[in-house]
Amino acid sequence: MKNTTSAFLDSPQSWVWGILSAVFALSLILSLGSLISRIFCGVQIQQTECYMVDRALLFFTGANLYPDPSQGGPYIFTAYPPLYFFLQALVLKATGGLWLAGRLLSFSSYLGCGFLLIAWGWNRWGKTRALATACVFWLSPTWKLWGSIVRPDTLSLLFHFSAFLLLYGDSMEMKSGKRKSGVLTLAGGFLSAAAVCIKQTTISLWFAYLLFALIRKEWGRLRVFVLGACLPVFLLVVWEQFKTNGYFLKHTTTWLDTGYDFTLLKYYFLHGFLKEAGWLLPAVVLILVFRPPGLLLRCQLLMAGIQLASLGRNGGAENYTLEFWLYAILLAAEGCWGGGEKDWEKLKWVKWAPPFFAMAGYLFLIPIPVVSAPPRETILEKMEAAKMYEAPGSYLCLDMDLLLMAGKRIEYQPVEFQYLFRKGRWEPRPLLNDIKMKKFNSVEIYDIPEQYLLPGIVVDEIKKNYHVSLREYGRLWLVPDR
Amino acid sequence: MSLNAKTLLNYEKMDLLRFSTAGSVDDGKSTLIGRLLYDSKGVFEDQLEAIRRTTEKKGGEDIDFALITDGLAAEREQGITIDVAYRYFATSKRKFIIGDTPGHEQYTRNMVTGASTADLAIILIDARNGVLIQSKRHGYIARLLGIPHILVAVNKMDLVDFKQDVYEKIKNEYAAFFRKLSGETPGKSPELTFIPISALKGDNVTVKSKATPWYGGKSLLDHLETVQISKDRNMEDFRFPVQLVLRPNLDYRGFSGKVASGRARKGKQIVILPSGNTAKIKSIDTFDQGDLEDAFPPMCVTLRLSEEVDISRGDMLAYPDNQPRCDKNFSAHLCWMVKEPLALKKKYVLKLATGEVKAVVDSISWVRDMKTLEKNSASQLDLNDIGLVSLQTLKPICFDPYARNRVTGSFILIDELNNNTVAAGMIVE
Repeated sequence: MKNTTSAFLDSPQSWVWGILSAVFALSLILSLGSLISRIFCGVQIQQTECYMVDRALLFFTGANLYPDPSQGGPYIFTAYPPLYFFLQALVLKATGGLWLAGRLLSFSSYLGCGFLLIAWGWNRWGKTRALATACVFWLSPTWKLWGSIVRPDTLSLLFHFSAFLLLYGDSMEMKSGKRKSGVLTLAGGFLSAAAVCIKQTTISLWFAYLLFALIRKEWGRLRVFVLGACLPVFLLVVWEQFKTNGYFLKHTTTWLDTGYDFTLLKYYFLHGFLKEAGWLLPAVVLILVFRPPGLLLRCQLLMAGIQLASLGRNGGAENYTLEFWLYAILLAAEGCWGGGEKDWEKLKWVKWAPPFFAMAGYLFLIPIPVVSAPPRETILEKMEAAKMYEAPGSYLCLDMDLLLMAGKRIEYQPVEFQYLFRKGRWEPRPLLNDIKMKKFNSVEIYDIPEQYLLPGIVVDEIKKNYHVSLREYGRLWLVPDR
Repeated sequence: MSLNAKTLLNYEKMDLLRFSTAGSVDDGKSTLIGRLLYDSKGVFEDQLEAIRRTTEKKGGEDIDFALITDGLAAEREQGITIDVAYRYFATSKRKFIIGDTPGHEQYTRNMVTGASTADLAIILIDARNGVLIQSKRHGYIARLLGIPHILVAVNKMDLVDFKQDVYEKIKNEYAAFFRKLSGETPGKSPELTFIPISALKGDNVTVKSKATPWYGGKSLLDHLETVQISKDRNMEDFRFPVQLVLRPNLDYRGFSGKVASGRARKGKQIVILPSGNTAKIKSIDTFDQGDLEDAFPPMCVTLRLSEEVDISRGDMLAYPDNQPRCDKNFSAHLCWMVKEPLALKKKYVLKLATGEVKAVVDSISWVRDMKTLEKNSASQLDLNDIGLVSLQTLKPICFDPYARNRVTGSFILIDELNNNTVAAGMIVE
């Protein structure tokens, strides 16, 4: 008995990780219900889902995703490159409906990143360690949230992560002097290009690779990477600029500068990031100090860390922590088990550090609830309410899913307006003119003194031309003055 | 401001009266509504023309006003109103919503639906037939639903030569029945008004008839225009079921909903139920009226509180010294509305105000025989049955007796499997 206990204490081997994996996996399975209810939810879970779906629905209709904003509605900037809308439109053809395609893409990407961790660590770290690491990754509430809504973030990170692993594997082969071919670098570059064509923020890998190449003086590899990554993106931009008469870049860059707010940064950092990753930060610091992994991974983590600053962007959200979370977990696992040197495990307290941190992570993550899908009652109410938008004509509506359910186009995306207007980057005249012309059958706004989602100038125009018709649910429906 | 805009503005500010109509087959209910719509210019010319043609085809001389309201093809074929049809009209004094419900016994559920939100119920009695059991059933339902004003229209007076004694006999019999009913049913007795009318000829409908000089009361429309409904609102017990937590950005957190009863006042301490947390009302917000000092039924407002307390949809706000009961067990009158009978111990979703909770019906105390209005013991409730049952909810819900508060004392039961509303309930205690 004593020998067994001693053996256990001396060697937190695969069976310890097996137990941890089982516990983590069980918790994951228990949380699947809420994730599935989110994925199959019949209404929006997050406001911006609607506009993602709207764009995907447009994709095969031949409509311009990046129209001239001065020509009237829709009064929005598409913000993202076309690959996400294309992929979503493809899946939509199979799934039908509105939300399922985008949510399935996000969910499979969330799962996919975990499976990539397992695949990467299966032989390098050991099977059970790889499984436990993936489970900790999957336990992330932020990944669960963003992996079950119609947004491009997790999908772009799946491409980003695939690209990174190819490049990282290649960089380690380079270090050991085994491989000369640039095929992996080229493939990594292509995948990275795909990621950028889904969401621009994944460009972080380009900077990480550039930094890596500069430090290592890998000019040849850098050239191959630029060929694989930058050239396709460049060609896409040129093509879209040509096709949209120059509006593509206006659409995809205008929203980048929405202003910065340190209170937002503080809010998301304290209330979101630290609650979730508070245990991981010391682990990352310890690994970086005592067992630094490959250079490219450190460069990538640096870029993901810099991206955390985007939490303070107006209109930003916790999605800017997704990349850091993924790479911090990879870095922690790589630092512990990826180097191949096992000398450090001779120290009893050190060898128990990884299971300790994994358990700490588990205890951090488990109490954080995942936002549930709207209750059945709300879904039924929304389905009923959507009927009011079925009549021909346009509507301005806060709950954009009602418009989609009624087969209407999205005319504006409320969360975007205020920031862009304040920065002088959104031209309100087309919308003001349409309000003046009473283009909209009804306008829905909050029934509170300040309209946080619409500039005052627009609210004033609405007041001048529309009057209150219905007051419910904290909202007002205004109809045109006769 | 143009005259047109002024008229529209006045129209929007006008008082609204919701009323339901109930009557037996051929009591002239649809004719009465048709007459009201016609006289208040609530019928389009082309619609009227079509009705004139149909009436002529049928060989009639006077306009068949029932054709105005019996809009559904099926109900026209059967000659009966088969569902609750809501009609809208307005006079210079008031706006009206009519819940036109069928009179047949097998449509009790429709009647309950139509009358549940009514301020006033019109019960039609055919002067030739006198008080039938059906008329009593309609009165019973109206009383059960706590409708504060009941107008008994003794119709077809033209067919009894406007005889006062016929009217008085019906009036006395029905008033006696209502006195007995009020003794059995909890809550305040409704205001009971009788009017002799002829819906077809228009006597005492919109103007007083010369054919009934012995009748000293108002015409039916005059009564509808002037009956006081503001006093019916419960202004004592502040209840605010939260419909929505409004969080348009990080700086604003408000709780939206409709004041169900009582008066919300800025600065007053409130309790959040069922958690029991307390906070003060910091502001009462609206878009077009700004920050209000107080809000009362039926205003829709957004409340902001002084403390960051956990509140979600379905919670109820009240004053600490006047709280609703929060419990898992209560008894209620239940009107069963679907073919599949009530299954005891089966889980249903109970929706009360803005809250939802799983619930089971534990037992049935009695079922009212809708033909004789007798109470019978029963082991199940079938379609259109009304009975007294005991319910148990999975989590405590906050409610008032229906007799005290119609909003926080009424609920519906929903079948989880098909989302059908299977019953309407009124809490007794």
